[in-house]
Amino acid sequence: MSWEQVIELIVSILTTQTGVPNLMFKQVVMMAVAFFFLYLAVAKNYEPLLLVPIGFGIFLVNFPLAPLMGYSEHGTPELIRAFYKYGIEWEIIPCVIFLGLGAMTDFGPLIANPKTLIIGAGAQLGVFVTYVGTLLAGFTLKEAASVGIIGGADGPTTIYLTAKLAPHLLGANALAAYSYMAMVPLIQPPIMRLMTTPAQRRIRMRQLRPVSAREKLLFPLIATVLIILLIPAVAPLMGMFMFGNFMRECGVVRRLSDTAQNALMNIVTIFLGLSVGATMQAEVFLSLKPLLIFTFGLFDFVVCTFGGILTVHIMNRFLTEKINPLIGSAGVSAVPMSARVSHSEGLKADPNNWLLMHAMGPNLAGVIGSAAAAGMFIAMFQ
Amino acid sequence: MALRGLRIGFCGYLLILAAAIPAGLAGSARAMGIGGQDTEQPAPQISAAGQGLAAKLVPRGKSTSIQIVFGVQGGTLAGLGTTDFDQTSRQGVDPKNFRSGLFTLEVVDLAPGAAARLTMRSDFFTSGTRWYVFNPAGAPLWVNAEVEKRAADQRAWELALAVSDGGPLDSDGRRDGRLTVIGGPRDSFWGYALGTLFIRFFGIFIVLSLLMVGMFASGWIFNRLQRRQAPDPASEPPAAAPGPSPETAAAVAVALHLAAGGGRHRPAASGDGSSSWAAAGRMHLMTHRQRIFHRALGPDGKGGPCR
Repeated sequence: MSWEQVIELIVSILTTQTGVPNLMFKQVVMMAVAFFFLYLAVAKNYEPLLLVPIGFGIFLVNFPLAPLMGYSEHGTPELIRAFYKYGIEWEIIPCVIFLGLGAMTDFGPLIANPKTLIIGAGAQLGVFVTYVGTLLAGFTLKEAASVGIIGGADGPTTIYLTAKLAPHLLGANALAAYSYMAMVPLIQPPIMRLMTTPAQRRIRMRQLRPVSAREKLLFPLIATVLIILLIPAVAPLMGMFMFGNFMRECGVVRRLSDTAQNALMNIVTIFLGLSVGATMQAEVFLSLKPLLIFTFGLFDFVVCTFGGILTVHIMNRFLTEKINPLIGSAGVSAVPMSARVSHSEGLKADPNNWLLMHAMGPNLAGVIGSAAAAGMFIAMFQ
Repeated sequence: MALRGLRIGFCGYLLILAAAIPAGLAGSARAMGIGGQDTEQPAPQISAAGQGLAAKLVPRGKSTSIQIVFGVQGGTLAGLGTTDFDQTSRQGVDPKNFRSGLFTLEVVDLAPGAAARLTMRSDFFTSGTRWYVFNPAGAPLWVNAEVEKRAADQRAWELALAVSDGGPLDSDGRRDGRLTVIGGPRDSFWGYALGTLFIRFFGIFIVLSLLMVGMFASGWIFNRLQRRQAPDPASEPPAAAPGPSPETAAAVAVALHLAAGGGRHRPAASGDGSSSWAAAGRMHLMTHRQRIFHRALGPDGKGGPCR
């Protein structure tokens, strides 16, 4: 072998088998984006359970020639592509997360005060307003629906709907949803203060009645019957959610309930985060659309918060026992962050006004409402 | 800025800005052609269907496929294809309104100058569906063709269109016993998008309201059951009268002790034969009881939190 051949071989190895000469500027930009989200998660503690795997997914997938999101020559998916294909494309992971969420959720505050369900419906206003805005911006109907659902502040619902309707927007939508959910304490209080007077913020609500174990056990069955009969398209999400809750409340399958809440939830969160992060490859992500999605997402959150509070104001016109409008903002789901925000804003107005349990009602109603909105969108395209 | 007696801080301005930005972005995105890529362009599969031809396709804004069955009376349907919007003029039309795309129909076996009746049937059509024809040689280029509509079986609508050879809807423009018709079903995109949106938003209210009614009903039933199962208050022994507060009880106890003992301190009995275990227990109990006497006084001298 001559020296020329040796050099030719080295050059060939360098150019085709190592990443260095193939690294492009936009991939470096995406790595910076990954570091930004990792920073938010690690240093600022913003939704670290999701932003850490998502950030690392973005980081990993933007290395040149890395066999992660492609298919082999024989058509078998590479590592993260396999997570994505079987977890998200097959719509399994979001539903399993809903199973875990159901097992974690105590519907007591909602059962004790069913009126708060209406607040959960009103807080979906932003979903539909943003849908129109995105259509005006030139998004397709399916893309608009997947962007609109960000305001529902429900990560798994956003991922489920986006994977179904606009999978090419999955990364941006999921990231926007989780980022804004982490920023609920920054986004909501100014709107809450803007839409309420000090007197309204001081409204005290009657203590919730105790809810029996039997009522809690029956709730997932009643809710499943009503919701799935009316919106069959939401059956995968709502069915898993209520199944998880039934396991929790029936008390005879504590091991299963515990697994759904902890081990299973943690496992699928890892795969979900990595898969979502891995959809953000430079060539797909670096365009104007993700920027628009982030802007519309913020707008969506604002209008959803507005919608929830407005719904309480409207309800108060007809109710003799007034509801504190601060709990309206909790209708955007984001459990339990937005309920905590309502509580802390209430405490600022009146240090003896404990709104947390009252706010949990609309908060849980928001989960059901955003899943219902997702079901409505899915049904719309069937 | 003060609004309703409240001050909006920096975050408030930021959020108002965030609310205003999407409108501007929507306009600029349109100007920049963000939505220019037609990612949902239907790709029909053509197959024979009885005497006619059928196009199976996934229309814009749907996830499931639909079928349009084409037929002709007074000729033979020789071909059915699609036409890209890029090959037509968009003057006066928005491709979004043509959710199923555009079709090209070829009809043969006609007498020169004769007319044929084209029929299009689908359960995707509604009573508001219109049929637009594009004629590159015509003026205007796009014509809202007059179609007869009738409700066919299984929720399907049938549109019938009369086209004469060499007439304004015949793209080849010649009286040659052959028709070429380019056109497609048109529905109002915004009418559909906003109409369905409005219905679905209120649909969520209806669903959650029904759930609320169900929960009120179940709550009422459970309350009734619990009341029925609860023991009769008349059969219960009368509740004890509320006792004095711990502070009052302690004060009374001290007063009684002082009165009984005449203020003298009586040393604790020792050597009464009790075990050290019992003595330690008594000590523990008394220490616990007397915690109330060791409360720190508050700044106003009226007592403070228990330690």
